[in-house]
Amino acid sequence: MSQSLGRPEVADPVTKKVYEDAEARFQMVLNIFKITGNAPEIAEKMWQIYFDILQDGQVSWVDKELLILKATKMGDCLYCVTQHEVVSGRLGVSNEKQADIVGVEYRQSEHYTPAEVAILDLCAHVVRNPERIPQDVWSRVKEHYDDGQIVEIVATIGAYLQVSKFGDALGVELEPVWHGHQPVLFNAEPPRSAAAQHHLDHFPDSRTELLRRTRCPPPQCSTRLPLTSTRPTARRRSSLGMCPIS
Amino acid sequence: MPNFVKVLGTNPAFCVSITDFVIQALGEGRLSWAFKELVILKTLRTTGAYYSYGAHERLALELGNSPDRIGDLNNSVWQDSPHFSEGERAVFALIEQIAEDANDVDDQIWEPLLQHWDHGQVLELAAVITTFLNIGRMFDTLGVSDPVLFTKPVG
Repeated sequence: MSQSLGRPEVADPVTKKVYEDAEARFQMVLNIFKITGNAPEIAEKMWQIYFDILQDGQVSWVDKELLILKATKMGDCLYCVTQHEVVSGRLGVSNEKQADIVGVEYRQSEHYTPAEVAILDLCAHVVRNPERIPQDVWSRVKEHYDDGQIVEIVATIGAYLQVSKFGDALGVELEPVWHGHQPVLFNAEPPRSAAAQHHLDHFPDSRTELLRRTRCPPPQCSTRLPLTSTRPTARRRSSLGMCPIS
Repeated sequence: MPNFVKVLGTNPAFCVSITDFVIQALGEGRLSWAFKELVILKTLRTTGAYYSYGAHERLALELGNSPDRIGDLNNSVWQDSPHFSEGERAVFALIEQIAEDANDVDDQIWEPLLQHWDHGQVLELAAVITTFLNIGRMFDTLGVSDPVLFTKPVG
């Protein structure tokens, strides 16, 4: 299946509404929204969850961006990480703070508050194994957040595990507008997934360095909290078609 | 009312959007609800999630899936099971790959998938798989007990 770029002008009203909402919120229709037209009744409901997340709620948007970066970095989703590095930067999260989100660097980082450390620890455990979250982590989270906020925190982590796997599985490619972006998190720590590395083609200035770091032996990468295994991959790749256009 | 809705009730905005989407996913769509229940069970099993497994197992039965079809979802048994079609097997391969590394859904998975399912169905499949990956993570984290869904027969 070949990928075909869609245009914002679409035939069905549900997809058209998604495009309008996306453009209003993000000043562009991201590629992930352009697959909506394949099944608009499903996709539209799904996107509403993300429209709800990406704003201040019971939890600040900045806190949610930190969780999004942590969860999607652990899932090796270069599409999500790249976009949310930019969003986080616009919300005032410095590159230095972003870089310290990898592994457990944030625990010792001067850029993070105890509340932020607590929810990032929770995030790492949710991604790895929600059945084995230490009581200490819950205690620290509950020192700083109430029940409604904890729902929003966990929902944000879960939703970004979902959308990162959704987009990666369907072959959604990074939009050209991001191609000049200098990766922050993946410069601090390269992706573990061999299959994720084709995305690095979008960052030619960083590719050599990232690939060199990717081959570092395990002890040098020991701060990483592993999520996925790496295995040799037959080269990809089909993708779900972009929205069928009128 | 499912327990997860009660838990989400502390955060109304998220309660509405998440519940709306789950309601959309659980029903007849571009895929039959009966098959989507197998997709949900396979996703929960593959990702080691506990939340709602029992409820969806009962739903899968009520919607006409045989006990053999449910039992044969287990680990690699589905690969040789006579109770599944080629199209269904292609979906189970997709689920296992998404759980392991969604970056690595290669043509060996895509080609059989697209022989049996159209683009709209593939989008619905990916949405259901990743939604229940999310739901398993989210409600296992929050310690929500298995819901009693659909107290009246749905089949």
